[in-house]
Amino acid sequence: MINKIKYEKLAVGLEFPPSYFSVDFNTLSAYLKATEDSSELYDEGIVPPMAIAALAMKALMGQFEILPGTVHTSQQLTFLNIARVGEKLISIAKVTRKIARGKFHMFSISINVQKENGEIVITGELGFVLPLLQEK
Amino acid sequence: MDITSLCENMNLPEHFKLIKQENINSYAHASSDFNPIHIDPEFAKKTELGGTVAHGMLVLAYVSSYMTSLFGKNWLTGGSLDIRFKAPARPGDILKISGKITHIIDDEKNKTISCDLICENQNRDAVITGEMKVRVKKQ
Repeated sequence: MINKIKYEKLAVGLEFPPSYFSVDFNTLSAYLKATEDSSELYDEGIVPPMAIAALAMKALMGQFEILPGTVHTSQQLTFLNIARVGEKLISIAKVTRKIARGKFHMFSISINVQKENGEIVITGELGFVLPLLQEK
Repeated sequence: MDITSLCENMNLPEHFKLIKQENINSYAHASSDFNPIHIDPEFAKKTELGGTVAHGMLVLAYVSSYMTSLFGKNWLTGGSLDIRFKAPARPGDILKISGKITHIIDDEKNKTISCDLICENQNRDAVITGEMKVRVKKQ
């Protein structure tokens, strides 16, 4: 069982352990069905970049404690290279911002997904807001 | 899309998408995100949201899919999004995705197109706002 990083331990510069994943045909098919995306590009086994982003995010979210009330408020993504079904991908994420403003905390996490050869597939940053915790 | 016809201040064609619970459920399986706020109507009814809502990333996937339909492979290798989630999208909502070209940089090898982007529901409430950029390689 993975020990999730406590929210208090998230600090700017903290790097999460890398996550390894690949997309199989079943996942691709389920994703295209869910998004009703019928682009012929994906017939060749290309994986939509948003599918990669979703899986990278899912892996990331499993690594730290998400407190009740946390809201995913912003998303920046850049698509650089195509990935195909079965390719091994590595997601690397780091805390880039954590501040308290008014009654809220805001934090951001950068994320890079690359191939085994180091070629970057997508880069991005996720922004979150959560209610400020009461001091105990 | 004929890239040569694009110019600043031009609107991209509007795109409409109906949010369906069935697709939200499929997306939960595809992304392994089974948060009950998305897929359990009974649970969701008891929350502040009052019902299930689509994954933000699903709505963003619709935006990205639309961009792929406009810009093809160029979107997959040179597209970027910088957005804010403003409001949830609910089953039954009809989302309108629209964009306005704000800037075009034309150089020897590429045309880089920047757009303001908005995705709003049938009540004209913004669901997503932001910017997108795409680098289109010249033939």
